[in-house]
Amino acid sequence: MIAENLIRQGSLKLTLRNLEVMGMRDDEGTSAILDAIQELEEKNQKLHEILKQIIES
Amino acid sequence: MNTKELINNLINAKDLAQYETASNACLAFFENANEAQKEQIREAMRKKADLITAEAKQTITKISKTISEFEQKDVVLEVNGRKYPLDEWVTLNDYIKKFDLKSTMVVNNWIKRGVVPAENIISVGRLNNLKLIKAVPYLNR
Repeated sequence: MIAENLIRQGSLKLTLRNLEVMGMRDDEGTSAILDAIQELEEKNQKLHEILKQIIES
Repeated sequence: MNTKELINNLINAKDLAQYETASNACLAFFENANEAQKEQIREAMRKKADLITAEAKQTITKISKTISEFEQKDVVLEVNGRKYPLDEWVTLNDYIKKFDLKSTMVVNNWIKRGVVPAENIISVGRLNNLKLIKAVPYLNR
């Protein structure tokens, strides 16, 4: 699940770059992508905390 | 490679490496493309961006569910001396999410019709009569 999260983040960042290079970074599309990246990052931190708890228990 | 092939490769890219390769090919082509071709590439990029965002949202939902299940794993509600682990007992809202039902009305109907056995339902007076039901399937769908 952590790997899937990182792949999704990578795809979103690549999408942002594509839109940027083509001059298509409209506000709505960009903010949806940025929100998703931020949310994935938060979930990733939480998954790492859970993993740490499992390893320590 | 023509515009159609470039777009097919972009839209059908299965993993991040394929997506990066297809993206780079589209961007390289875009620089020298005519206006009609540029518009086709733009449209494909928009479509791919929507697909990628939708996939990311599905992953977020899946991870949220896993995190929520983990956090409830060791939480136990004690009512009248009986213990109810919250990974086994859920609210009606959580039940419909877990079993992919359309609304809590479905579960309320099951309760009225006796499909959900009485021992699988608790109402917690201290929590404004919050109803919890045992998180098991009740009907073969």
